[in-house]
Formats: sequence, structure tokens, C-alpha cells
Amino acid sequence: MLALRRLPRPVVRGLSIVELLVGIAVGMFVLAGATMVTANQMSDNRKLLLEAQIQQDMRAAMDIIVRDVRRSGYWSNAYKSVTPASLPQTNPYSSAGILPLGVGVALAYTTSRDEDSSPAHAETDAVEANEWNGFQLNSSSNAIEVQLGNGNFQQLTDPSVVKITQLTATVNTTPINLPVCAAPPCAMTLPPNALNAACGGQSRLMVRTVDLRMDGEAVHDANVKRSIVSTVRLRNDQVCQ
Amino acid sequence: MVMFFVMAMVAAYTNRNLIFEQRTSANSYRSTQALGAAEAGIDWTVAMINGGSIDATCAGVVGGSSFRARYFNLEYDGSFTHADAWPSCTMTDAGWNCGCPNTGKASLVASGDDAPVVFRVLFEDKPSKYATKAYPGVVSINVRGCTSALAGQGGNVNDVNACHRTTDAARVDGQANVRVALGLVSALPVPPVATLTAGGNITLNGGTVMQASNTDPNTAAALHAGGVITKVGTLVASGPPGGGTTDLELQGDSAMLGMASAADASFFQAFFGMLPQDYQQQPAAIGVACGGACTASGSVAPMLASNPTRVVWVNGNLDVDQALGTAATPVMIVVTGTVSFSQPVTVNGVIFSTGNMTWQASATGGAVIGALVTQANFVADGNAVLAYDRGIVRRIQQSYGSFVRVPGSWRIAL
Repeated sequence: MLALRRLPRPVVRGLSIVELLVGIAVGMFVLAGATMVTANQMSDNRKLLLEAQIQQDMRAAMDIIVRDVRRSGYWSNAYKSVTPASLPQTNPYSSAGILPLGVGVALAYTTSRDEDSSPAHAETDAVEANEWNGFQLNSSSNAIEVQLGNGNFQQLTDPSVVKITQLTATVNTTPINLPVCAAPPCAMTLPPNALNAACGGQSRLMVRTVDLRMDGEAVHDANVKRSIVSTVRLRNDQVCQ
Repeated sequence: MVMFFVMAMVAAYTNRNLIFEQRTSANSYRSTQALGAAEAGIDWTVAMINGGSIDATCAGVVGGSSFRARYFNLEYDGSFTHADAWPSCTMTDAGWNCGCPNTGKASLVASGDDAPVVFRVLFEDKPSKYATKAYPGVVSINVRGCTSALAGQGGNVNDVNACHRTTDAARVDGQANVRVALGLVSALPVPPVATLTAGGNITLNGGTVMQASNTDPNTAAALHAGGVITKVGTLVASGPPGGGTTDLELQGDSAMLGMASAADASFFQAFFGMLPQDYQQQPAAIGVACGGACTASGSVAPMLASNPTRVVWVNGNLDVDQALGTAATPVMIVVTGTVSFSQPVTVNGVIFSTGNMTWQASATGGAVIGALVTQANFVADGNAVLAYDRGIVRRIQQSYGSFVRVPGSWRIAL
């Protein structure tokens, strides 16, 4: 009996069932929290990606519109409107204005592209088919379209990513009366105020800006909305005589 | 801890698109800066080409050459050839720091910014790609704007690849090339057809001898009066070689007399193509106000010393007591009062006055090479030598005045 009493008690290794259960419970709580954080993170990230995607798409479209509208009315023979020796020529290209083109509101204008066309050639002093430019919102596809040539439109935004809900363009014009008109060949043969009469009294420089606004939303989440507003000063002023 | 660290890394990775957004914004910012610099370069060039004398740093000085004279040379047909130079500016804390070299590249002062904004002006040979030659009255400029002279290398604005150098500035961050044509609004779009033009009468008092010549076959008149020409003194008029003498003196021009006596500015407009207030306010005109009694020596000559090729607008009367202008740099002076020649001096250029012109006895021996125009009367009490100089009149007509942007010529150059 004495010998039996002196036997060492067996060493207990591992966790008891209670400890295990407590550990698992704590682990579950931590995991649940981490999962929730991760899920939120993933959701936020998805939303951020969508925002970045539509923002990038809309910003790229707006950049293209602004840059192209800015140079509207360019005429590579513009120097011929400065003519000391003969009658000056007038610019055949028109700067941006709002015209009813196709579907929706559009900005339409003409710009000389003779120097840039393929093959490049000298200015023809006439508006050719490929020199019609403009932008419009296609309300069917909810995409912004760019006009490449007369009546040919091509999508500028990706309708599978962003749904453009609004595109507005407001042209603001500030007329400036010009003090100068073409000089007559001989001053002494003209009656008084002949110079004014030659200009029709309305020789003006039309300085214009275009206020652009674009609204869009993500196709996969209508809650993700973005708007871009831009004002562009048209560099090629229109001369009105 | 390990798990939280991994989660933090995953979160940072998934937010990498924020870095993309930041980079996109930076690109847009620098692109906009470059275009802004190019646009500023155009406005700067327009201001400079209509301004006065400058030094190597493009700052105004007394006695130097103007931006226009430094870089442009008038050709026989009214077009301009240009110097092979690239005026440039860089933005510093104190504003634009510029260089206007006679030839070649400018040497700019480092701004201390790692990505300085620079623009460089290039003068084009022709107004467009397919133009065959330079066009009369037009200069074409191509301005390159950059956001960084040399990206990543300390912003050395004078490096060989910097924005204002001859290379394509391939290593700058943002770049914009803008091309525009500048047209000349002439300071004298309709030159007078005679050496002396008076809306009223021309009177040569007793004892005076006036030599009036006009050897230009296109105009050929010596005296042109809306009223009458009274010659108590002696007139020695001469025209083109081989020409007759019948048209040397034109008087009784009722149309001109009507304009000269009209209440409106039609006489002024007939020569200058615009109203006086518009002409006075043009960028290339500079005003002289001296209480109504101006002198060439005290008011006009000092003004011309720093503005040799600009139109001088004199508010009030002018006493010509000092030589003005040269054959290469004639003067274009508009006087809103009377003009009195009081000293025997030589004037190269064109003088227009709304009031009477008087050639005093004390001015005997003086001369005007160019042309004189008065809306009122001309009276000579002393001997005068007046010579119509086609070269001077043409120079003023074709190279004096204000350069302005030509509408329709602006484009982003490729």
C-alpha cells in the first residue's frame, strides 16, 4: 500500500476541454471581428475602385473635350486675315457653339485639320468632312460621343463602367468692339465716316468661354456618382463684321 | 499580432489606387502648369513686342534696342525675318526671370525650385506649315512651356536639355507648345500722299524759302492742302525724276477740307483707321503729358530714348527744338495741339497734329525727312526743307504700331 501511495501522479499535458472551448470562443470573436473588418475593407475598396474608375473615365473625357474645344475655330491660314495689300479673307471655321446635332445636346464646331490629316496637306480654306468636330451625350447608350468627321460619332466613355447622366455646355460670349477695320486704298477720296460705314459699324471680337458640366454614375453601383465642372476659354476668338 | 500585421499589409495593398489617383492629379497639375506657362509666354511676347528698349534680361533700359528691333527685321514686302534667338523666362519667387539674348539661348537664373516653370519663345519662319514664305505684317511665334527644366536633376534650367534649349526638351515633366500668329495694326495704315499735308491752308510768308520734294513716284505730291496754298515766299518743289510739276501742289481738296473741319475725327481716321482715343490707347503708343507745352528736348526725346520704335502721343502743344529720329529709327508723333519748329534741327519721321503747324524764322536750316500732316493750317516764317522719304514712311507703315493676336491662329503645336 505504501509503495502504491508513493507512485507519482501522471503528468497532465495539453489543454483541458474547458480551456480549449474558451480559446476557440476567443478565437472566434477575433476572427469574426477580423472578417468584419476585412469585409468592410473589401467593400470600401470596391467602392473606391469604382469611384476611381468612373472618375478616371470622366476626367479623361473632360480633358479631351476641353483640349479640343479650346482650339476650335483654328484656321492655319489665319494670317491671311491680316492683309495690308488686298481684301482680307475670313475664317471659314467656326468656334464652338451649341447646335442640335443627333441625339441630345452637342457642342459642334469646325477646326482646320489639314496640317494633321493623313496625308497632310495645305489648308484648303474650306470645311471638309473630317474637320467637323463636337461632342454629344447619347441618351440611349448613356455615353459621351465625339464627332470624328461630319455625322460620325464614336464613344468617348465606356458605358459598361460609367453611365453619363448629363452633359451640358453653356457658351458665354463677351463682344468687344474693334477700333480698326480695313484701310481704304485712298483716304482723300472717302467721305466722312466712310471707315465706319465700311465696317458696318459692328466690327466686333467675340470672346467666348464654355462652361462644361458632366454628371455620371457607376453602372454597377448607382450610389457612386461623380460630377466634373470645367470652364474653357476658347482661344480663337470669332471676328464679327 | 502576425494576423493583424498581414491584414494591415493587405489593406495598404488594396489602397494602392490612391497612389494612382495622386499621380494622375500630379500629371494633370503639371500639364496645366505647362500650358499656363506657354500662354503666359504668348502674353509676355505680345507685351514685349509692343514695348520699349530692353537689356539682356528683358528689363527696360534707356538707350537700348527694343524687343521688336532686336528680333525682327523688316523686309521690302512688309514681312519680317527674325533673329535666331530664344527669349525665355523662368518663374521665381519674385516673378518671371527672363533672358533676351541677341542670338541663341538665354541664360536664366536658377529659381531654386526643383521643378521650375519655364517658357521659351521660338520665332517661326512662316506663319503656317504650308505657307511658302513669311507674310507681310505677321510674325508667328511658337512658345514652349515646361514645368521642369530638367526633371529629377535639381531643376537646372540651363542644362543642355532644358526647356529653352534647342533640343526637344525630352526630359521635362510637362510640356506644351502653343503657336500663334501676331498681326500688326499699323501706326500709319494710310500714309499721306504729300510731303506736307494740311487740312486747311498752307502759307509761305515773305522772305521764306521752302524746299519741298517728293521723289516717290507712287505719291509724287509735295504740298497737299484742303484750303489754299499762299506763296508770298518762295516754294521750290520737286518731284520724281522725269515727272512733271503739275501735281506737285494740290490745293482746294474739298473732301479733305470737309473732313478737317468736321466735328468728328474723320480726318484722323482717314490716316490712322481708328478713333483718336483708340489709337492713343493701343499698346504700342506711349503718352507724353507736359501741361500742354511740350518740347522735343525736354519731353519727347527722353521718352524716345527708352521707346525708340513706339508711337509718341503728345497731349498739348509741341515745340520741336531738338533733332528727332534717324533714317533707321524714324519717329511717329501725334500731337493733339499745335506744332512749332523753333530750332534748325532735322526730324526723321512723320508728325501729325490736330492744330496748326508753324515753321518759325529761328528754325531756318532745319529739315523734316518723312512727312508732315496737320489737320489745321501750316505757316512758314523761316526757310524749311521738307523731303518725302518713302523708306521712312514705309518703315512706319509696315513696322510701327501694335502687334495683336490673329484670331483663329491659336493652336497646340505638334
